[in-house]
Amino acid sequence: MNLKFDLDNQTMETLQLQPNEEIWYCVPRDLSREDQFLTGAYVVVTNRRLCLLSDGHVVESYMLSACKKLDCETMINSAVLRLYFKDGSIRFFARCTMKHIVRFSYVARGATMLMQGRFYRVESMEYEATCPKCGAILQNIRTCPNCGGRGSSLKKAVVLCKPFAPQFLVLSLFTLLSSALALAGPKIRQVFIDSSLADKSGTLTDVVRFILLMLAIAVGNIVLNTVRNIFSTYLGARMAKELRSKMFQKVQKLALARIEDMKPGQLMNRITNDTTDIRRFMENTFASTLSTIVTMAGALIYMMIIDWKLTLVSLVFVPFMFMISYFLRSTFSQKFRREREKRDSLNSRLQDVISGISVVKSFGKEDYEVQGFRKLNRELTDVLIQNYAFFYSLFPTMNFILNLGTYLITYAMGISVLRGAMTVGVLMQMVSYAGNLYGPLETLTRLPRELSSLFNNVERIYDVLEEEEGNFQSEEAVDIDLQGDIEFDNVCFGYKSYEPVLNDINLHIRPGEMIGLVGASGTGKSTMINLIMHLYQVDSGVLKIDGADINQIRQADLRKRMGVVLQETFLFNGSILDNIRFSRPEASLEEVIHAAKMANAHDFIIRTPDGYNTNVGERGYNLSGGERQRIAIARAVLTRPKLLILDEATSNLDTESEYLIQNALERLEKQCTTIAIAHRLSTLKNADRLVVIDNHHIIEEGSHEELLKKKGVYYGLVTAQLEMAKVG
Amino acid sequence: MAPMGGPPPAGGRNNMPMRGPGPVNTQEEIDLARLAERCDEMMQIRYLEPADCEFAEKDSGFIQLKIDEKVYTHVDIYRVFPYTNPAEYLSVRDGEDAFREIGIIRQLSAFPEETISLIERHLKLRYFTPEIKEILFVRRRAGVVTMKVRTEYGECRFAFRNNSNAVIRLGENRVFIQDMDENRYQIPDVTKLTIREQKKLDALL
Repeated sequence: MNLKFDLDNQTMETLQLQPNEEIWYCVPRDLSREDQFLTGAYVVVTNRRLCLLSDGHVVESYMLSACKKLDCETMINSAVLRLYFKDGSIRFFARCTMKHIVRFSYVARGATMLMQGRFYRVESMEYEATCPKCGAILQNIRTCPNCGGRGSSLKKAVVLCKPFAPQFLVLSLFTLLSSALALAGPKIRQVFIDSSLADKSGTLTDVVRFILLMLAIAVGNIVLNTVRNIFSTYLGARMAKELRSKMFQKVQKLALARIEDMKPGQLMNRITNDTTDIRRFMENTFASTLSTIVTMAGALIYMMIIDWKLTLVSLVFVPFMFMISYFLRSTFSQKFRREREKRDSLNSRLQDVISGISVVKSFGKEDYEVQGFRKLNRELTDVLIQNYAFFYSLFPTMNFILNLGTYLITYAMGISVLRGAMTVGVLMQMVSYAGNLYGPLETLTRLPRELSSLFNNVERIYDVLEEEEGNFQSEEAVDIDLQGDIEFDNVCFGYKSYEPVLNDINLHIRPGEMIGLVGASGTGKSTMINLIMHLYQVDSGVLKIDGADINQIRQADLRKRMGVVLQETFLFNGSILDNIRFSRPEASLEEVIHAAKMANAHDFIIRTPDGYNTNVGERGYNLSGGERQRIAIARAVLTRPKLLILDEATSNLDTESEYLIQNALERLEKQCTTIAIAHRLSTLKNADRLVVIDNHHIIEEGSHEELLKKKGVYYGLVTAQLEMAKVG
Repeated sequence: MAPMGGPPPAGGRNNMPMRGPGPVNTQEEIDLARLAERCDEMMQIRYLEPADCEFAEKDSGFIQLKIDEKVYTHVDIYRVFPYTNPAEYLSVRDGEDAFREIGIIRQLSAFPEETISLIERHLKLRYFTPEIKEILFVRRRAGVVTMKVRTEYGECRFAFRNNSNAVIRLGENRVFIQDMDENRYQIPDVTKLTIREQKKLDALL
């Protein structure tokens, strides 16, 4: 993200930079204190001054040496920079909308460092949300699709189809053949009528030959269409399969922060629904539409050859039809939208009530819910009846208008036939072609909508495929033999960089040490663990593992040597054995049993009917919370970790189980570094060191006894828990 | 500052009565008393009366509050019901003590003119959700919606993805639109828009 916007020459002059003075940060401020949107206004930080610019003029300027800190306060939908001076005074400095909030937060951090004499340049790795050139949305992509880089949707669709070019060629050939056959029918009929029937000169052989020919065409058409449809279905399924695999592979590689940005539901939709839509398009629309277009073009050419003037006159109703559909376009979409909206309301109400049925029942609100559902149900039914009454009266009318062309041809050519200027065969041929031309026209008006929906699908798929993986490991990252030495050096981090979760964290964890992280909910304990697992990248400062910057270590290798039990113990659908082995599939059965015993899980597993082969069901719902946790612990220790991370790992266990597991883990911990988070402080009393986090900072550090003596925050927490236990 | 730091000075922070079992003798009991005090504080709702409060604005933009002879040099004011009751139930919090609530203003209109304008200014700075007065232009292309609107603060143009949760309905008629930068715009009552504008909006909902 750009933290140094370019200023024009005139503005640069008004800044009157001194020798050795250079601009470090320059970011726009787009909102005044009085709520007015601003343009051409900036916050500029040089290595000597802090300035406010407005329309090319310096409106405020302060020497950094007089300032203590620049603070970015997040408001609701805006942010304010406040300047704190060394003399204790505070000043409202600048304001921005959410568009520049991230920049404000970085600049506040950078300017404060300069004020403290730390000449360290803060950089932002975050993406711009919109293209600075054209304003297009750039969520999670660096290059703007409009300003070079990704190309248009059509181009993407073509690229998507490229690997299947031979199959498309064969498909087109089948389509051409079937269209040619469809167009040959009326011609053969015309020859037969004119040469055999009109002057009654034909023989029985002519009639049989004609019938056989028409039969052959019909059978040929069936065969060609069947082959074409099977082929396009096969092609659609192949394309969808390839895309699904590519997307799944991509998702596995994406950094966690990127995936979380996308929302799991959306991501699943893209992998399943968007690819299915492409398959459906290939199955239902592509081949038939291609064939329709070719047939229509052929019919039009034939009609023009027979009588181009009449053909053109008969086409007069076509623009009329297109006009009707154009003008009714918004009515259509409005009607579809209303239907969808009502359906969605009904569905979400249904989902809400069914998943919360126990709450509904326990509060005795069944009747209230029935009333609510009845209302929504009635609304949906009303909309459905209205919509379909409209569609069913409109479509036949439109069809009738289209067919007016055929009536016109029949009338004009009928007169010609009566006058002897034209044969009956040609009339019949013309009417057949008119049917070929106007019949599918109405279907064709739907094509733009289907194409736009296809392009949307392609866009969304490419959005994932072209997503930058956002893995922060450096290209020269190496594998290390993890010893478990972890060092936080001035680490700052926030899931949104303008809302810091951890600020200036300094902590050195030595190999083999057991560290307990303590603090109220939401203070950043789990965040520290996420950083150690390298699921996120620190915003500033350095996180070192065994003395090396974490970015220089291969992520996959690092995680392989970690054992992790997270707050939400997620188990996959499969057997207990599969779940324990998930961390190390090559582990022997003895090792699995050993791990389960360490986690005090072996006994309860044996009691289940299928032992280690018991299926834990989707998300492990068949097991109790405590049993799930014990499997998760077994999964973690199976890796023989050098670094064990326990985030509320024993919170669902009874005291006896917890005691047993703790004892077992202690034996393991002697060989590895352990970082544990627990709200039940007794869980952590054996920790070598406790680290208390509050208000984004480490505020206390020491052993259980040391911290008790200190009578600080930890002491307060312990006393509160003891009191709770007394009450219990 | 930690919420439960160190032994407190005698008498506790706000001179509130101690709730210890018997006379306060040991360190443990003092801390228990503090916990009980915190619990009392948590349960208590203090409504601020105009006669007891003196609000004043500082250069920093912070508000100072003097109440019961105690001076809070930096208070923050939050709306409890930002959209449905913007001028009622305002939570006044100590900006220098872990967001602790000092009290709640029931009705801003009950306060003197000067205080009202001071607090309104402060709230305006905190809550910036432009109201869409007129929809000038809506374009939808490849799942991205671009809108140009007129708000009470001037015209602006923004974009959002239509397949995300960018457009949210709150209650029957209030609609929020969140753009790519997470700026939020609100339409307090969609039925007050012209039919033409409603149709433009309809396509997004």
